Amino acid sequence: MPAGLGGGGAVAISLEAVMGTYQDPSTVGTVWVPITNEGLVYTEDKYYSPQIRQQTIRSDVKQSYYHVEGPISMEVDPAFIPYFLHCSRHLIAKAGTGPYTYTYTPSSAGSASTAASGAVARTASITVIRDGIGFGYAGCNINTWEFTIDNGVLMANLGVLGLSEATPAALGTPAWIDPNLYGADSHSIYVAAADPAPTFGAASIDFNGFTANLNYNATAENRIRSDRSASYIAFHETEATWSSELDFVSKTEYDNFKAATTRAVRLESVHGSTDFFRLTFNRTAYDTYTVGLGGMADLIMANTVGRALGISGGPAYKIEVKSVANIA
Amino acid sequence: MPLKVSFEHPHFPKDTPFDIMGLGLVPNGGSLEVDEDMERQFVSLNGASVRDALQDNEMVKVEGTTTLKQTDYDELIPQDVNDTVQPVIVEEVPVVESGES
Repeated sequence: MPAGLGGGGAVAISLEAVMGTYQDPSTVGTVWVPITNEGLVYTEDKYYSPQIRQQTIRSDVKQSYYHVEGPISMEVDPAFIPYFLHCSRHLIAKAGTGPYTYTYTPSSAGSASTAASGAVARTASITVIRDGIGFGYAGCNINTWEFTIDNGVLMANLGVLGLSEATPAALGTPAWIDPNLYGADSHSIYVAAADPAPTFGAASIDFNGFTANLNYNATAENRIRSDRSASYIAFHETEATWSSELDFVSKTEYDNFKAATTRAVRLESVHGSTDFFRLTFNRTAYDTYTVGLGGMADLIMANTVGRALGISGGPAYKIEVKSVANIA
Repeated sequence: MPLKVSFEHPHFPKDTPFDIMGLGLVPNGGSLEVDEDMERQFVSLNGASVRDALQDNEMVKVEGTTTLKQTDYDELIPQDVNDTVQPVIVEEVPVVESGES
């Protein structure tokens, strides 16, 4: 095989009917997802025998428990991002008759699960073709999310955790639809009083950048059985934050930081009425708010991190995606 | 019957154009007739015949017969670089010790 380039590769995702049972890309419902990079890896702590036998070098190696993990970066495209959001610690609601609006709210599930169909949390088989060679990863879940605006484009950086690796029996047929990205004129950020269903007014104009992070602190759990792959993905504490740089024009937000005032914050990326991506933190408090005189010619900006909190009567956060994809 | 490729993805609206590398755009739920030039391009890009490359996919149906001959495939599908590169045999050159002349 001649040497290959990343651009010749491809990534496919197939929602699993049975958790951890690998589905190759020839499976009905598989979608080929344009990504910007990935680094999924087989992760194992091999056992190297420290037998004492008149040598000071390890004497043997045995395979040990393993799982798969790694990052995937992609532009947020409403046709594809729901597939990954389905594979996370979420409750899912689906509305509409096409396009469809998917609403994801945090669940308290202790571990990942899947179902043959329906708007319920799923696991996925992810296939990566590198230089024409297929790598299959089964039982995948998205453990961490980062939504960020990079050069005006909404990006998603995903942390994947999976159960096992498989060799695809078939690589299917990569088939691609046109990109549908959210550019610089798509985004708005809103701030309002904390509420289970916040009422937002006009968009804020003070935010210089916006990054939202969701982390379920998941772990791959290996149990003793006649298989080295992980038995399941466990979720732990959900941590959700947002960060940005704000124009420092008054002391209002600084006072809110000191007073632990809670606010609702929303990032909305819209293409007219066709589709949208909307992430709403219903209740957040400033975790940090630092402002200083950076230098003679520097703008006075406040570096801020907001931490999401639970709220009575509603979810801590909500992700809504309007998409052409009809995930069954 | 010329080669025909049909594609249907159950999650996307009918007629959404899908780009299959080497063949071009196929409308979702529709089909595409593959002429000889397209087939040659596909084979060059994918290193396999249209039927071999696509037949395993449950969302794709391939019908008809190819217009290409085995000699065409032999020309279009590159050999593995490891198969084609012959080892270079270097003749051993006797070492001439310095000061011998």
